[in-house]
Amino acid sequence: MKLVWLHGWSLSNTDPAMVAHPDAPAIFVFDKPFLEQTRMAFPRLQFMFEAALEALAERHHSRICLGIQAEEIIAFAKLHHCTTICYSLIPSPELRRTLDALEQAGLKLEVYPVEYLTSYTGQVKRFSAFWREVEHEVLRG
Amino acid sequence: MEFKQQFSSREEITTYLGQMFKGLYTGEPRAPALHGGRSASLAQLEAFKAKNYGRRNHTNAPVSRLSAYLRHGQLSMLEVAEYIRSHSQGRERDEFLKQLTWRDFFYLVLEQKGLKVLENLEEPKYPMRWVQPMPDDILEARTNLPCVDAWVSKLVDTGYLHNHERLWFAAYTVHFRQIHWQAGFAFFREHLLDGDIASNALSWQWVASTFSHKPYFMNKDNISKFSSNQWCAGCRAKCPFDKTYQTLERELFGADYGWSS
Ligand SMILES: Cc1cc2nc3c(=O)[nH]c(=O)nc-3n(C[C@H](O)[C@H](O)[C@H](O)COP(=O)(O)OP(=O)(O)OC[C@H]3O[C@@H](n4cnc5c(N)ncnc54)[C@H](O)[C@@H]3O)c2cc1C
Repeated sequence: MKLVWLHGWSLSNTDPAMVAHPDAPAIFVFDKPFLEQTRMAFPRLQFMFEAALEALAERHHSRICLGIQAEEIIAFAKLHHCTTICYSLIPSPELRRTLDALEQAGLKLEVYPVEYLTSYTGQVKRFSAFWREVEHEVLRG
Repeated sequence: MEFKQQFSSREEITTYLGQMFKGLYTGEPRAPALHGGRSASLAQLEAFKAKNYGRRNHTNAPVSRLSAYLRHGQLSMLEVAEYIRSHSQGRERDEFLKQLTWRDFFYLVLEQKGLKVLENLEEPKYPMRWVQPMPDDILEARTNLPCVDAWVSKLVDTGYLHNHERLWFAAYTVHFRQIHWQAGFAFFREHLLDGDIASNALSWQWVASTFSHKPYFMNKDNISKFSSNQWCAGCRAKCPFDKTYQTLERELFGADYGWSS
């Protein structure tokens, strides 16, 4: 059984992991340790919550909660007998801690790749040089 | 702690979350200026016309305000690019796609540098004396500079600033007030609905000169021109920006680097 994990970069039912698993349970967690350490004005929390509500509205089994991200995902996976967590990869170092904890708990990870505008894979340093490389691809599509 | 998912009004959501998140947010519980969610994001995309995007540097130009939706994945980069390609034409279309590519660029840098984006990526290009934290007069919009105070109030009230206002505010804090860009990054992260580690940290570093080959700074003419004279008309403040670029360069950075020529 699979579980879809929505994170702060994927708050939509069009998220690739959601689309791939339309019947799977899905969860979004507000990470409490992060909020305890980071000053965050209220409107952002509501903006994310509204997005999560709509993303999960059609799901048979879904949960939005506040807690330690990895622990909440593991608990919800157990509840629904899920052994694989599906999510969209984003190059944010902030997700690493959660992913490590999920793996340590013996869960399998099914990753949907980041969507970039370009297929460029070289090192990047200055936008102008990058733009010269990718301009054609971006404008043409 | 699990949240309920049924509500009868937006006000109910605000009140409910105010309780649920107690102690975990700054300021008062109030609804965001933009409605979160996929349908609101699509409405925003469909309302956007790239036709006058060529004026994007003017604070009253019709920019898309898609950033918060992109940040939280309610729209994907590919779908926005595809929509603009098929609904717009000419220079405006290309200019929009180029700006969108900045976001991709910043994410690629994040992928390659990881958490290092939160530290100086390069040496500053002038002898800086940056300090932390952000002073109260800035945080509370009491600098007595009508433009700066307006940027702060707008940021706090709406969770949004136009790109040029972000650049001016960043240059004011880092170069005119010598505040470390990390304090500016944290202030923006607290309030922006689109606040994100890549675009936010790297834009501050671009202004500061730790991710570019010169610092970004502006003078009064620039602010006045791109804001339709919004704050400068009738302003009686002792304006720190009312100088030539050459003078500012010497005063702010201690030497004539030729950045303004
Ligand atoms: C100091 C500073 C901090 C910033 N912090 C953030 C941030 O936390 N999150 C964020 O999304 N943007 C950030 N930006 C970039 C830019 O200001 C915003 O993306 C833009 O103002 C959003 O408004 P819009 O959606 O109407 O943009 P539009 O002009 O309509 O552009 C369309 C989209 O392209 C992307 N884009 C356009 N310009 C830029 C740019 N210069 N850099 C990166 N992406 C761009 C955005 O995703 C934007 O939604 C920052 C800029 C500065 C100078």
